[in-house]
Amino acid sequence: MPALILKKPKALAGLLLVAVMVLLALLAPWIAPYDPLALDPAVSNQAPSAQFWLGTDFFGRDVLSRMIWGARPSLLIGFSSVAIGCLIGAAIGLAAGYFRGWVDTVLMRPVDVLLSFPIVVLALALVAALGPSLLNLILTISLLFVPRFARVVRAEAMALRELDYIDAARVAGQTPVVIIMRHVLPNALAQIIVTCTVFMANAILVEAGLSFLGVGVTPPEPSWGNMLAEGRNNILGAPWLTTFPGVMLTLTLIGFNLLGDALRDILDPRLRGLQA
Amino acid sequence: MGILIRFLSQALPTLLGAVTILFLLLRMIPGDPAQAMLGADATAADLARLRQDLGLDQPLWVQYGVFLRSFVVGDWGNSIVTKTPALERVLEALPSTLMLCVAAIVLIIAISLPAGVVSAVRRDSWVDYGVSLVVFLLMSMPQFWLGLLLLLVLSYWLDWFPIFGAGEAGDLLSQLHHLVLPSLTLAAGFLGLVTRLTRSSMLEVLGRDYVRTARAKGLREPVVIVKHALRNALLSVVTVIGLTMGQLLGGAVIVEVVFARPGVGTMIWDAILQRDYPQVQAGVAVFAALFIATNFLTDLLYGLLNPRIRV
Amino acid sequence: MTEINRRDLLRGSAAAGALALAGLPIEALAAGVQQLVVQSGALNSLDPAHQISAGDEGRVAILVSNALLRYAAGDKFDLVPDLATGYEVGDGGKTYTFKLRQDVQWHGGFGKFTARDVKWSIERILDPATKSRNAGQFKDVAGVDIVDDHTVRFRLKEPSAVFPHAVATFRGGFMMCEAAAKAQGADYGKMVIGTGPFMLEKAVLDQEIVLKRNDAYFGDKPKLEKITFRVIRESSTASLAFERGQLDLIDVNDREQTDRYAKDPKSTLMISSVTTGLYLLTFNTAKAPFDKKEVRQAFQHALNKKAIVDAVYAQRGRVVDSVVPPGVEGYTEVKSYPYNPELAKKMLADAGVKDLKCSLTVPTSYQREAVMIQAQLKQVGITLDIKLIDRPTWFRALGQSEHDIIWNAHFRAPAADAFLYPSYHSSNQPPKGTNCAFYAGVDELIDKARVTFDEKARTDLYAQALRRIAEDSPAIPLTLELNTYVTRKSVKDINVYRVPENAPVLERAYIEK
Repeated sequence: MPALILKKPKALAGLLLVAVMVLLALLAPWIAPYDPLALDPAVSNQAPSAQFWLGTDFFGRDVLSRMIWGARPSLLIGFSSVAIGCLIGAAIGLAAGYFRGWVDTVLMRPVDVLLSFPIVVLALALVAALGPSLLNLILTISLLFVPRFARVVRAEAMALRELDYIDAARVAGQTPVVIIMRHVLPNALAQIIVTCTVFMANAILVEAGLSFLGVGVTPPEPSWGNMLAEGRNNILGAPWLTTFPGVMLTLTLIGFNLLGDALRDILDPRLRGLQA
Repeated sequence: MGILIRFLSQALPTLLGAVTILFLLLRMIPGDPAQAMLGADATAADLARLRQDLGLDQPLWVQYGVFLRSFVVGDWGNSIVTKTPALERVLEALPSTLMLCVAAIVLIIAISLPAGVVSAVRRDSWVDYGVSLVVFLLMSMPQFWLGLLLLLVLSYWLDWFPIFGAGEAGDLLSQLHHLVLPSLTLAAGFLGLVTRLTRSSMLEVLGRDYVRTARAKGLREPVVIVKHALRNALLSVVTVIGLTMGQLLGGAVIVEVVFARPGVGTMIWDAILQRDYPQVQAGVAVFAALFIATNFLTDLLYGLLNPRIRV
Repeated sequence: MTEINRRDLLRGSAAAGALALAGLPIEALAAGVQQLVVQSGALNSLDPAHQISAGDEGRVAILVSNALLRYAAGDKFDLVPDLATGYEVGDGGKTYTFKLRQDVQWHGGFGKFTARDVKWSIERILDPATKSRNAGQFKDVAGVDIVDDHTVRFRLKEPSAVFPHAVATFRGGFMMCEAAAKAQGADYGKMVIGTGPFMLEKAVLDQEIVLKRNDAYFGDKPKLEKITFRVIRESSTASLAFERGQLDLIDVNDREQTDRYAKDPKSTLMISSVTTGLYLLTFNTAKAPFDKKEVRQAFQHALNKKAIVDAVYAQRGRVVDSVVPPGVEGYTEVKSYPYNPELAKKMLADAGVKDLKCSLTVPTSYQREAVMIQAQLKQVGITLDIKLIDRPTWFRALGQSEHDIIWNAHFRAPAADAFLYPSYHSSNQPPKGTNCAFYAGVDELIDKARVTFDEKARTDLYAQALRRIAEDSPAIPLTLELNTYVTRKSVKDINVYRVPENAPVLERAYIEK
């Protein structure tokens, strides 16, 4: 599979974009030219220059430095909320899809209920209830993904359980847990990975949307979402405030989406025949 | 008859679950409506009186009982802020939101289907890559930023579209004019999804035997594509579009705020900020009901289109 | 006079002629109609009993309705006659008798305004069945008596020297028409019948409100024929619409916009000279180390208010040292603590406070100020944790005791009592009220001023209270944020009211052709 990724230009581009962003986030303390939180009202809202490559914001903070540091919460929210959502959601989906019957009903009814709320509305209410903090944002966004992962994985599990070799395992007397872990999960993994990459992009978008509504990552800590949201009122006077974080965010999401799309092409068995 | 039973056994409990979660969630949010209404300078006596009026001094389970009973009989209470029936306000604002969502769906179909088909037929050509690029770009931009950029370029600089509002009541042309940018912004994220889905479904179908047979029979290529391939590829596309409708409702919140369009989205947003419980409940319940209904209809449609599957 | 940007008026006049055409809204130009389209925040109800925001709903209310008294548009918050021609105080401050105008007609043919309407309006708000959010405004009222058709008497539970503010143009003070409310029933909040210079033509709450001129108005007839208020929450959208000519007047909420429009030759920036909106940091003096006066005073020296004003508001902000804003009855100048981080550090050390870590509870809309304060306190070794919350949560927090330091914004009626009693009288300490400083140092002064009818003596009592509060520093007054609007150059004779908060004075405005 890794070899396949490298062969596809789409996958390579996606991987590259994501890797660059992750590197930016990891290396932020060393590569950011200024302290992202240092205030200097004397250089408020300066256009890009040799001193400040991407200009400064309202408080005279360096936009480039904030953008580099802003990669951290944005990516952290993406990775961790998807990880949590995936763990819980996949567990629910596997159990519901494999056992069906009353297990399915008990597990999936709440999932359907959660799904029936519009994402933004549910997130807004949850963050309002918990109070805005990075941890609460991650928990909220994870909760949004749980039912969605559960749905996807359940469908996979339902299809897999009908396959002959799983029947064989059942007849051979293996316990359901073993069957699920050894046979169902590995086969559903492709679909789960694809879903993860796509949801990663979604998580970052949701954070941006919540920032717009005033409940995203709390300032003064930068995130791409809250930089965009803070800069938007001055979109005519200081366009650099929104343009750069906006472009970063968009590039990252394109990276995840490209990667997801390429992985789907590679992993989707229905399309595999067409790849030759 | 079977449909009715399925509706009653699946859709209704889901809706009830949704409003129950909503009820609990709202009461978890710190800051109570009495305080939100009376402001920071309210006296404790005024607050206590108002809480009593609103029934907020009752234990939670009593509030829930009252809520559930009135919900079932269709009396969804008055908005705490405007004192008018909450459901009525939602229904007044609903046409504008539905119009927005329907326009977005129309855009999705009008743009995504042809784009998906073309990029599947001309696979790996520059058309395919071009379509992919635009699609990836649109689905990778935060909604509010995309909306603002569209406003900036198409309305502010080029002056092609109005900047805010929903147009004059009764003037369809003006309403459509006001609808273009908001619906495009709302549709953007889903354009990618549907285009890519159309493309991959088409690719799958184009490789099937009956398409090859049709080609072998000497049918002209457009006929093959539209009549044989697209019709079969549509199945999964229709499903996704059906499911999209429900998701669009959520996106309406941000789009309505950016374009200053009246609607249920902004109403819910305002109501959350004011802790107007009955209004949030009514708004979200209507959204959830619409979502459940469209999902249910999509399921039915899927069953009709694909007789092999009987859920 | 408002501080309309004079530099612009002078410099822009030559260019204005050429640019006026470009600036006019297209519709107005075509029809030659005297009309304005104005940005508005959420409009929930126009019913005085249920009005929420004195800013957004109040600015419509002041055009449609009248109260017995109104606040003059000027530097001071003077109460002047509106529907009443004057009043007499009797029974040692326990009764107020108002003489009413006899030439006032309700909109829409609902007849003459009389004392019956006054009694009905007040009693309706006080009636628990109305569930009015503004009932507290009349909590001192024991009864309203009709003396004759044009004389009405208020009986108070206790003598009060500050009662006239309750019947002025603020929230519940607007008069309602008994006949109309009864005819309209529950829809009253939508189509308010008033006596003002404009009347409602169309009201789609949360969307737009259209007012047309009331030709039967008893005062000076307005020149504008029509005013449309459009609800636009997103200020970036409003800004684009204004510059494209789709809106004629918008709110200006930040320094960038202020700078932008101050330079724009096509626009007139209007900044009020005073405001009742006062921002403060309130300490929880029940919590260590804020129970020590010296620590609170150290904070006073650690904060550079001027820098906050310059960075966040520029010309639309003012530094303030007193807990009652200037222009308000009872205001006096008090000692100011010069910015001196070294002194602040020393005072903290003397008080035995090292490496202080504390939190500032602040609503999201005041993020910028909070970030500035955080950076300034860091200079003296204080680590400030910013706790952002939304407005309803903040309202609740103001009536509780969990905070270390909390952001406070007082938008009050323009009387010293309205600023002092709820926030510094010990009877209003949480959970009973919002004295979240848990301060009790000026009770006797506030109580005494309430029953002192001699203006000079009352002002003196307030001055003492203000000086003592400045010394004790239970709260640090920071800034006044002045109400600011921008409109087209072609729109003339616009002023800014003090009360209701933020309302532009539109009844004299006109569009210059």
